[in-house]
Amino acid sequence: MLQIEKLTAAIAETGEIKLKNINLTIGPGELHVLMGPNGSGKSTLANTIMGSSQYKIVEGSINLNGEEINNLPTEERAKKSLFLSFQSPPEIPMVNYTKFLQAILEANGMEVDLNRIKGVLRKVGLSGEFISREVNKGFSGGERKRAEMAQMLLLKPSFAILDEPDSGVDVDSLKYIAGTINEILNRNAGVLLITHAAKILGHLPSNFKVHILVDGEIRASGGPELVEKIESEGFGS
Amino acid sequence: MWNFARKIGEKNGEPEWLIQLREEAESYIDRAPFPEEIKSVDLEYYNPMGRGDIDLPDIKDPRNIPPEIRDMLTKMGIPEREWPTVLGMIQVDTSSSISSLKSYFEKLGVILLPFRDALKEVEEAREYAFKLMPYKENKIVAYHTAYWNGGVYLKIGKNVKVPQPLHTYFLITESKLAQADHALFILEEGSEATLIEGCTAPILTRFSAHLGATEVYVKKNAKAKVVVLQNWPGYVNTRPYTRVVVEDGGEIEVVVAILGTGKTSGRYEEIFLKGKGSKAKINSISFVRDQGYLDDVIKVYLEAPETTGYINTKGVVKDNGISNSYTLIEARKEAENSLGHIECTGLLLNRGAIHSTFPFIYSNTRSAQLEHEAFVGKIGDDVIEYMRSRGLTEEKAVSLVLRGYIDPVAEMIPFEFSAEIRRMANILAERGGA
Repeated sequence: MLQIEKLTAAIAETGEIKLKNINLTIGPGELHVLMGPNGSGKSTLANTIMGSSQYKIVEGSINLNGEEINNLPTEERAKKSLFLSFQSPPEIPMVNYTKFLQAILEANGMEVDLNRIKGVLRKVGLSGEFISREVNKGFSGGERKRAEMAQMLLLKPSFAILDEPDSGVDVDSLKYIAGTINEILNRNAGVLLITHAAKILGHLPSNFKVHILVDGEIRASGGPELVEKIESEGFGS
Repeated sequence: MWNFARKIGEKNGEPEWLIQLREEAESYIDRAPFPEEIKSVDLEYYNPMGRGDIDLPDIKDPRNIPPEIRDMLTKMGIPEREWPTVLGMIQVDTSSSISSLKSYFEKLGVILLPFRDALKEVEEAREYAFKLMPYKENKIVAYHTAYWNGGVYLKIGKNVKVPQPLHTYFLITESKLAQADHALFILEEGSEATLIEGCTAPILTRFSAHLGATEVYVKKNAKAKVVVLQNWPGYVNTRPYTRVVVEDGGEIEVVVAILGTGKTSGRYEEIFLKGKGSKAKINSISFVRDQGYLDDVIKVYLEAPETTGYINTKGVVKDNGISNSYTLIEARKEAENSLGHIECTGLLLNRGAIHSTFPFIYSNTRSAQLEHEAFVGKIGDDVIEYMRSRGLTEEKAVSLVLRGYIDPVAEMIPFEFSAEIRRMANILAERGGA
């Protein structure tokens, strides 16, 4: 369960307010979709929840499974089973992808099982030679997003924030990505999905909730019908 | 005023020609220039006679010898009672103390002698010694030639393939006690050997400057691999000097790992590919931290057709460390169809750490193909943040990147030493940089 109460956050360096009075509660197994125009603060919300040093909380609280995590360092939030799939995951040159996966499993106190790693990569459609490449280096857009999904499957988070996992990917990648989201929802994880396009929603359970973020504020919340409205009318800012 | 050469030579009971060589070199110490790439040291500050208060380690008991060194000595068949001698734990007359080592090597087809004895007993040693580094050339070589003491002569016989790495650390006890030891390695035609120079064990001497020199001859179709490990304590200034000549079809591979630079370190290594089809491959990894200072100079001269030179330097710098990598590959006009590649990279672990690379390529022939690439950078904040979002601490994240950076080099050297390199990487990954 992720509970965000009266959250106001700013850019750490400048103090510029980017999120205003956000209230959001996402229970286990629930899918919430966050939409909004470019620059409305969607990624800021995702990164603030994860504890990015780029942003600071001015007011309000973020609770994960009943515990306030406002002041926890990023890695501690991760260990409490929170996961963020990055919109543009960086390249980590010189670090072998398998070694990276082994290290994150170890850091989370999970068993390092090479067969499981291979199985998970297969599940997101990443072929065998992938394991010997450097992290995200030379990965195509779709491969990067699928690699994020593979990490999510490995770490089995109780809550996942997915920052545009569907942007810039082809049809095949989209199916793999939707497949993993369905898998973790079935495992009862809560999911906050940030997206621009309705397309991926067609592959996901239809009982999701939608929130519209404009200028750092949630302007509307509702069911799937909100998506149709936005598709035809836009965000109406 | 320099006035030690004769004293040293006479003290060693050296023949007159050798004393005279020392004296001639001594007269050039003031005149010869300091090599321009490396930081100069005030040589007058150091007494080449030593301070005479060398502290021997108090591990006189063989049971205190580290397990990997015990293994090595066992493999070499050295009787346990001789271990303290071989390791320099106790001082005895060198020529008798290495008798069992000598017979071990003789069986392999390897001649091993203290450098001083070799100059007396072996014609070939006299022929080759100091020829690759004329004392007029620079101050370091002049100083070294005037005041060298200790060192080793090692000759690998024709077509002899030495099955295991030779640790020169074990070879001559007095090398570790010398301020300017001289090593002369000759690999005869078709021979193959791996030499490991230096050690990660504490340096036993109290000299504050070390100016050792190494000459290597790789003859026709011979293959030499030299692993150099340096871990100098903070009070030492080192200026090791190495020159290598490679004949037709010969190959030299050098792996340098600098774990500790001491106060200042200036490594100078030059390889001359004189034979057709000869090859040189140099990989260097260095760690500079605290107030450490390093000049790492590596030069390869392509002097014959179809030669290949490859240089890859990696530098990890932390705190207020300063590291400079000077590399050169020069193709002479005879070097038709030769190849040269330089790659210099540096990884800075905090603000204040400095790493500079100066790669040079010169070609005097159209058909040589030379290239270089260089990169120095910090680990991006976005990379650290990303890794932290997966549960890794900042320390772990840095350590993972660092391991990825150094592992390709660490994999080239024997395990007991690569473990030291990895341990150093973990130390540097820890927080608390300036």
